[in-house]
Amino acid sequence: MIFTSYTYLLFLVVAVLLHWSLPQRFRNALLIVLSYGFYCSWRWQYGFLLLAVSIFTWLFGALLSRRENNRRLLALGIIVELGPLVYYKYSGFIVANLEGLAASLGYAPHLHLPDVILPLGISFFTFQGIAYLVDVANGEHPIDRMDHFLLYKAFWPQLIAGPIIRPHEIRDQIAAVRHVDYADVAEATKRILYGFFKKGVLADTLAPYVDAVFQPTARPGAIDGAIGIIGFSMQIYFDFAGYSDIAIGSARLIGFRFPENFDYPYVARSPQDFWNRWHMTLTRWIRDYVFTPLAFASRRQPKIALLWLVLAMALCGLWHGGRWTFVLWGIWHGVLLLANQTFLRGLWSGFDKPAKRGRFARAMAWLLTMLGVALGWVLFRSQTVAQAASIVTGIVTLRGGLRPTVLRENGVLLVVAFALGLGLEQVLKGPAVRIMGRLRGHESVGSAIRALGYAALVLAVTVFESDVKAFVYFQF
Amino acid sequence: MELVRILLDRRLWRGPAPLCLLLLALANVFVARAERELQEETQANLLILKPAIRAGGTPRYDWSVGEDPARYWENIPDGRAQPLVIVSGMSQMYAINDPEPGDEIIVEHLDDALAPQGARAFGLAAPNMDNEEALLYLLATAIDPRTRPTTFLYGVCFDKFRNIDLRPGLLRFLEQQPGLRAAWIDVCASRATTYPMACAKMGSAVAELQRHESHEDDFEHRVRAQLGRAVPIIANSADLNAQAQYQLYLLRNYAFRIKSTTKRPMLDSVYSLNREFLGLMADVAKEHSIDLALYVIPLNPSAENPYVSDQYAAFKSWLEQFASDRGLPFANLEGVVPHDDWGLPNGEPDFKHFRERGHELTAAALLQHFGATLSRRPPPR
Repeated sequence: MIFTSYTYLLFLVVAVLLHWSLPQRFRNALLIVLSYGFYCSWRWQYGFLLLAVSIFTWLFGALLSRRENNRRLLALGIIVELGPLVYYKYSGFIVANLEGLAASLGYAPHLHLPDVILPLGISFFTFQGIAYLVDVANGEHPIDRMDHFLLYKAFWPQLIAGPIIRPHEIRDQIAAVRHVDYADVAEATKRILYGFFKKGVLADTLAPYVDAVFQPTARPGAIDGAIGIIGFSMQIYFDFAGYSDIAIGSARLIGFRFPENFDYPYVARSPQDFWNRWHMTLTRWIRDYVFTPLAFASRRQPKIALLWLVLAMALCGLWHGGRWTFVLWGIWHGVLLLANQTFLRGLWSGFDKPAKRGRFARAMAWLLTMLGVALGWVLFRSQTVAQAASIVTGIVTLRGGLRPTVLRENGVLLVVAFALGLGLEQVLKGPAVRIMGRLRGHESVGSAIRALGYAALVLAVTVFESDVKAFVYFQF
Repeated sequence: MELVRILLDRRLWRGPAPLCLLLLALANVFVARAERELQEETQANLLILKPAIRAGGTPRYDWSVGEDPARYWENIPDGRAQPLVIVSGMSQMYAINDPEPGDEIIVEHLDDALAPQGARAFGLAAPNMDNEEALLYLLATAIDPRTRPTTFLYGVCFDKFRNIDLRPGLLRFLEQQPGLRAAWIDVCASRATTYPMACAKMGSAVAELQRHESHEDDFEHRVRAQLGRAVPIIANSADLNAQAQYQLYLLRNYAFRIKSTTKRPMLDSVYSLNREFLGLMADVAKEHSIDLALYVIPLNPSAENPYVSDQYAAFKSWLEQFASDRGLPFANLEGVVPHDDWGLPNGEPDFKHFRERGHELTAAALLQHFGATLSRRPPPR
């Protein structure tokens, strides 16, 4: 069930009405049933996988909490948690690389792998499970009730593509008597509408132009390459931020507060700043469960800690999928973060006190950050390293001159218009908030402006979102 | 209790929700009242002739112009009983400037002329049709003995070598016909070495279908259909979308002073891809013993056009050479329709669409060049 579908809206309305109509003691059970129904609507067989992984994690967490010296047991738990992820997501990648290695040594093995379909959200619920085991091993109290744990793992708004919720962020909300009031419903509805607009109107409009540039057989020129990269930078942001908006809004309608996942990432003035704004729940997960333990282990050698940063980001890349392009994307960001900490520190730091930095310095820092991020997106979107290299080479060598070789004029204009629109939105958001603040004394005017805006968004979503398309992040 | 409390909350009734709902209700009323105009404007944008003007009662071409070809598929004459000519190409094949009731388009003139010789013609055209779409039509007709033509007559338009992709209507058509899909997959699998770009593109169309295929999609379509009965904006979202796109197109033209005749250089990558698709068409036609006849479409000799002249000249030379190399019947009909027969939509001479007389002249020229091919009996298959 795709979030941006009428089916999902119907499901959500029924879920909200049932949830708030039932007595408190039945609500969590209802949410578990609905969450499994949501997951099984895609492929019911994988519901059993989710259930098995959830039960294992809960039981193993209980076991860990009873052991004093539990490091080895934790390692075993993490390996088991990673098992399904490695099998479903990385076996093809591993086998292909082993075959390549054997071929380079003169052997030609043909390892047969059955065609497997990646279970939706497996990367997310695996990370969630690992986080739980690590937290319990580090002394956090495990979730006592199995039904609470099943809900934590399966709660549908965060199940498929995050935000990656950690146990302490949700356990009290599951156990508590939840409430919802007008402010919650208003905020949730607004977030869901924004999500539909970002995904259905903005991301999906950009998708065909980006796809044309990144077609494996296309040979895009400099202009196409540049437009394709800018287009994809926006597409993936609107797509994923839109998904997160709908997830956060849906959860709030049920009385849950989820952490934010995006905070205007394209205003970032350093790679570190970017990662504090982009897929924030993943960034925190990588920091707390990969980088920090590694850095702590080598705390007497701070230079090695910087290498752990690159390794952590490489793993972050690999988490996105079994392709070298993802790994290189992670390494690229690791190198950017390393530069941020070392030789480009002068350029990319001090923006927490913007007054101390001149406009030019700020502009340069932003430009270089965006350039780095954009180059990363080429790796992320390309199917092969060779394709990424071809696109970058095309731009650098001005292939095709200043004329597009793949995109028609409309595609170029549309991407440029969207980029300008996004830039304008970031510039105007401050003044807009101030204006709406001034209208507090004139509530009817403020309400009328908002009503017009919301009606326009609903119309745009209905008219432009003519067919349901899967979210980019569903594959991760 | 929570829900009741929210409904009774003053902030709900004083906030933006009631006005927003009122505005949406008004928009629905407006759309419901303008439903017919919206549909007519969509048809006009696609240059589809109004039903009152169309000649004859039985469709002799796909009246949906690529939006829903399955609807008219049964109207294709039986290719087992007589020689059958499929006439394919872009909007020039079916659009008429200054139309009068009873006007006929190219394929209808051809059908009139071929019928006494025991042959029939049927049109499968669509606006801005590219070679990937033409291949789809060729394959779709070729795999069924009933619709398999003796000749697939394709009007090649230089400008359409800037397009690629199957439009949603044809993607749906591919989805609805399992036999066609299997043939499509077979073509892209068996010829990937000779036509790597085109076959990869065909593969991506299949992948797109697989992504959308599920029971869930069926359910979503049913939900949309049910909602559409109550909410006119949902029911008419496709027409509203077409209108919005058209207004954006006009805005673009106004903002950048673009005209339909503003020079537009060819897109190298897309051009190469379309050439590969034409090669695939020649292969597929040969495999099914179909004569693929190609012609350069007529062009208004006195109107400006968006072609870069040396690129257009190179294209014509290449096409002629391609036809010669593959042994395909070929004609250049660029100059067969004189200036007076083209029409002046929006006050400017149209470089691509003509009046009814242009259709008659083009059909006559096609008969003159390909007459013997068009009425030949199909070889035993």
